[in-house]
Amino acid sequence: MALQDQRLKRALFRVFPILAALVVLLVSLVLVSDVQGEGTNRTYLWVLVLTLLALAILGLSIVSRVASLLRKVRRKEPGARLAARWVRNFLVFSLPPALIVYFFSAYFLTRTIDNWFDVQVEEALQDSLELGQAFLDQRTLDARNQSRALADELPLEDGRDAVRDTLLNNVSATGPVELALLNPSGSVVATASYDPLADLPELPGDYALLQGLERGEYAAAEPTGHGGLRVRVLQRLPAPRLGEVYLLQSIYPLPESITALTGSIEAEYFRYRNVAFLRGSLKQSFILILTLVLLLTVLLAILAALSAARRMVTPLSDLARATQRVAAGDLDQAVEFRTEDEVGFLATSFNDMSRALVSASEAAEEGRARLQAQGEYLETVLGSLSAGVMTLDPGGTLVRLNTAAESILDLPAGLAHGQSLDELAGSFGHVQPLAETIGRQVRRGRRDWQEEVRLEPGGRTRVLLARGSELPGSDYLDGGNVVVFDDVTILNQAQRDAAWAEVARRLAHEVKNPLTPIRLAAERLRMKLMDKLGARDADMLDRSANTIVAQVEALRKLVDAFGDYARDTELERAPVALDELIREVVHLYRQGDPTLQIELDLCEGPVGLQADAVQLRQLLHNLIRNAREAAGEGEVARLHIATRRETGAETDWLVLDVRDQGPGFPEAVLAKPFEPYVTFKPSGSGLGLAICRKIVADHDGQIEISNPDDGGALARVRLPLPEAGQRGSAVPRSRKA
Amino acid sequence: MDVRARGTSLQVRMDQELRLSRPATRAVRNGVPLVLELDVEVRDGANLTLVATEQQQFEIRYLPMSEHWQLETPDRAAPRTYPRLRHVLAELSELRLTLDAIPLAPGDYELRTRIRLDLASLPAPMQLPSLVNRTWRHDSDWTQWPFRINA
Repeated sequence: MALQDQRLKRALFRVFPILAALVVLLVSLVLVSDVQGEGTNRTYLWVLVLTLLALAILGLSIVSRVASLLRKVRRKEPGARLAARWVRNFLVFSLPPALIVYFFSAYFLTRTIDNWFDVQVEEALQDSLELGQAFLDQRTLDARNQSRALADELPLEDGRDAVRDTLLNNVSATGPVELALLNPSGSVVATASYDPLADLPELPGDYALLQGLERGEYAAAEPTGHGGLRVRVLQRLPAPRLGEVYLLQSIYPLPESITALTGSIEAEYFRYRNVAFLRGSLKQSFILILTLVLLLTVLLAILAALSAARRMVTPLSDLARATQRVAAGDLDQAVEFRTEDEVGFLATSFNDMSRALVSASEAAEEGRARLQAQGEYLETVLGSLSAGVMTLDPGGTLVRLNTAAESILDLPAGLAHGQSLDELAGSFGHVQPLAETIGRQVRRGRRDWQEEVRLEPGGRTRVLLARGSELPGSDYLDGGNVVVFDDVTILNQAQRDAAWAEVARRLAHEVKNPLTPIRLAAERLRMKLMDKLGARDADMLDRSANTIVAQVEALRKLVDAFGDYARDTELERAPVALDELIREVVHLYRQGDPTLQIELDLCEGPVGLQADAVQLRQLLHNLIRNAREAAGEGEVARLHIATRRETGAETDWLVLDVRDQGPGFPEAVLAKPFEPYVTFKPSGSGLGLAICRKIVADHDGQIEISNPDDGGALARVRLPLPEAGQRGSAVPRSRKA
Repeated sequence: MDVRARGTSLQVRMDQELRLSRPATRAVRNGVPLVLELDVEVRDGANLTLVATEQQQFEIRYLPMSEHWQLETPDRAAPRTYPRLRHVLAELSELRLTLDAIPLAPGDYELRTRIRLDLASLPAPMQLPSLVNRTWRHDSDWTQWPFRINA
């Protein structure tokens, strides 16, 4: 309903100015048709008001539309400038002809009206009038003279009868036809008329009476009430007695032929003067009507220009707006069109294009979603792989690096993307061997390759098994290479550990057995021969035997250590309070070595640690002994042992730090920290840290060694703590070693 | 103004001042007759209800042959002539009207009069200019005069 009202209003808004224009046109035609008529039309005023009202409506409508158009131009709405240009051109081409016609018509009308009046005719009429007036003047003059003579003959001293007789004797058919003696107030004293049936004499007017009294006489041709003329003469008479004043009124008729002629001359002259006088008004009326027509034409031209511009530009504006929306990404656009012309064809084409774009966009969106799903799936797969995967474009730039690759290579997440291998190696030096290997293999041009690469991130050795393949190129892919690598460090370590265990077992088995007979043989030799040799030889024998015994003992310890390392220990897990265990071990060291200073910073418990106390005691012995021996014989060794609980993402950890103030681990040890027989001590077996790693590994923990920046060496052990539901209710006592 | 009731008629005496503008005088000298309309209304004094109305026309002409002015009034069959225009206007300034056949009950009344130049009686070419030209406005305001009809 509201929409219908709106449409109705819009239709009225469009139709109303046109109706107003038609009213103006009609009114103008009425005025033109009646301008020369004799009618007395009282509706002229209303017609004029209506006309002005219609013009005002037209003007307001145009002003409103022009203002709206200017606002659109200022806002740079699509099509507004085209519409403004259209209106301007329309006016430029339509106004000058209208103005030319207007001025030419005005000039033509004024000249034509002027030509209606002939100067000679006017002069002739004027002369006729003057002739008539001259005749009347002459007749008046004659009447006055005659009246003067009669006035001199009147016997005022003889009484009214004598006067009346004199008057009667002087009236005649040619004049005067009526004589009357009047007193100063105009009342009749005596009268005589040629017509015996005549009424009382017609009295003079105030003006004539006054003139007669003041000037002595009055003579003038006067119109009668019936369209004729007569001459009235008033003559002041000499006073017979003091104070008495009389006027003699004489009425002289004009011949009927003369009266008819003067009447005709007067009527024609008057008619001509009337028309001549109306000439100016006539021209004004024509100019006014022409101006109305011009205004009507101009306003209608403007209105037509505005309407035509709107009709022409509206579909183009709709198209422009729809195009802008399509350009902004809103492809589902349709333009209404009501015509079958070129604009309609353009709108149809646009709608077809819009539909095609929407279809293509939906297909593209569907494809993109599918690709995105595939990409996400691939990303998930790559992210779930434990192996590192990296892809390179033909120029050697990293295109993709999965999470495992970043983890294995110790790279910050996302930083390596888009870098070349050389740039990556420049930024992260430990990746250099891998970069060199990949570069070398790619340059060789082999489709598939495999090579073990050794990296040393943070001073630790990491062994990677890298396999590379060339990616084939296509229309949409540039090709490149894909490299997959696994961290096989643990695998290698396990293999080495197994080898070392086998060696240790064989050593323990092959070497340990002969040691006891060797020692016994040496002691027996010393005992049998000691007494039989001289002092010098006996002394040499004694030293040699002692040396053999000592070396055998050292060899036995070494073999025992190898045995410990090779032995597959069956853990006896039980709740252990690590702080108490540490204090017990430290107490033994403090008692036995006064040069050893140990600081403790232990957390309580912690509750829940399930471990083999014997193994942990061995672990502590090895770590403390290592730290003590790092200080050198006889020097004061300062150790710091600390424990703390560390909350991890999946599990909690017990962290044990053993730190000394010595020179730190040598680079060789840091490179292969837990490799058996890698030691920095002359008398060391090289199995201490290896045994530590074995104990920690048996407890599912981690161990690492490092040299802190502020000096010394640090061994850090991390043992897993069970979840709260799996812990014991109290802190148990550790098993005595 | 003076109003007197005589039976069913009203005797009205009006004194007023009339002047013609220069264009109007020029027009009448050029043969355009001027028509003056006198509107008279009788209204009830209490509620101003219209009781009776009367309109009279006076026509002024100029006669160039005798150079006299002619005034045609509704109360006389023949027009009267005057040697000067001012005599015509003086005649119109002192109007004596008789409004006949007006049955008025005893009470208070109000007589309203106005006089104006009838532009519609002008020749057609003059009507449009006279509508837009103020010098052609010869309209007096309404003049009220209360009077009483006694029982």
